[in-house]
Amino acid sequence: MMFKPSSPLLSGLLWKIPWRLSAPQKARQRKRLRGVDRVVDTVSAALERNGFTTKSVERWYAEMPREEEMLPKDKYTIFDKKEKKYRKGIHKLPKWTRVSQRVNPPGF
Amino acid sequence: MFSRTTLARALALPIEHSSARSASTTFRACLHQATSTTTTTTSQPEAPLSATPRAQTSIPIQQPRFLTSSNSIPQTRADVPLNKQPVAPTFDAPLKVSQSLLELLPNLTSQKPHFITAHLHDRPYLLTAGDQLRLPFLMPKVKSGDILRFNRASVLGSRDFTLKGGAQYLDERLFECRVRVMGFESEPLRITEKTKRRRRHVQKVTSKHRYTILRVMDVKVKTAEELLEEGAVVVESADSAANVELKA
Amino acid sequence: MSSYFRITLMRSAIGLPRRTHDVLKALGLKKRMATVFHPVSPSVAGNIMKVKELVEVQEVDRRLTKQEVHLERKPDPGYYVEKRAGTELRECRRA
Repeated sequence: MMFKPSSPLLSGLLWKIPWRLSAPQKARQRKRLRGVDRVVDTVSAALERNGFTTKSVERWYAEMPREEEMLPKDKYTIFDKKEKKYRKGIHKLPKWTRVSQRVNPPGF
Repeated sequence: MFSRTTLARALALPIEHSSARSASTTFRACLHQATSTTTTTTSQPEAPLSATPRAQTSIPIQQPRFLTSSNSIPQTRADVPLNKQPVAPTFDAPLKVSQSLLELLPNLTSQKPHFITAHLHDRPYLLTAGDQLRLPFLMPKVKSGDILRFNRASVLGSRDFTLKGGAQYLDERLFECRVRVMGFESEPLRITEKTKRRRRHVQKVTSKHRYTILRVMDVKVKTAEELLEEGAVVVESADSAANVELKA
Repeated sequence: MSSYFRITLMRSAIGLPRRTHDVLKALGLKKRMATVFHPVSPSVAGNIMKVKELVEVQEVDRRLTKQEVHLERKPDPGYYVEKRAGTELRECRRA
């Protein structure tokens, strides 16, 4: 039998976002985080060699953890006050592959 | 033993009462420290992370130099250095061959016929002597009857032996591969009809690709004696650009 | 010795805020995989930090022309003309 009853087939338009990331998605997320770290490291090393300092780079180092220092919880989930355990997958964040979202509210 | 979350919370809670902006930044640093102490004690990560370079910390990367025939920096699309143009190469250093290559080369040279994986514009073509080759493009500035030399090869081989170049191409002085231009062909004219929306007009797009027909005259692997005659230098092992392999 | 940032746009800014588009415009990055060179300076570094998720950065010793960037990935032709048809014919007649 070709027809398999599932909710999109039975009720028409229904899109669902999976509640968690898959393993390759997590691997790509780590790769992206490392890529951003690499860009910042290159920029800061170049500035240091030429004797400049930049506020945005210093602020990044003061506030943001590196990829290897982050907990898996922070890499793949973000804080959300409306969720049951105050956490949802980072892929629910709009444009999540092109924004830096690394720290969460204290205690969560 | 504290779990990660309790430790972070213990560090975080005392500062949470002050709600200034500066406090939040100090807190973040705090949290970040707490996680780093619990997860890793060493700041430098081990193998899997070092697979991708973390950053460029030493001197600026040297950019490659491409010089045109008039020794100037290429500016326009017309400025192409000689080694990227189809001209006969000139060599300033002699060919370096290893002792092991010289020992194994007679196995390959004595066994005929040979095949070659020649690369034209980085596209591989597997050829043997007598093959007819139909290139998917019109080769510029050649006429039928011209003799061409192919000088980029990744693999040379016979029935039982192969000579591999590894990451880069084999040195072009190890072999001779000549082809003769037989002529040019073209496919039948193709007409594609294209329609745009809300427009009572059919656009006709024509295409007629032209091909170059070549015949492989010879594929020859030079013998060890010929290489030494042409001034090849025998070096220890590492610098040689090729290795002979026995096929299973 | 002055050095340069070699900036390549890897990810497009489609759907991102107007400001991000403007920063890319200021850097001279118009399409994906475009490469630009800028001298190392705090203002350029600040611009890079704004779009750090979208670009790849290297520090290099000199700026390349557009043609040189193109030549980096142009493969070798892999052939050359050894003998023209006319010269061969003349050799045959002489012999």
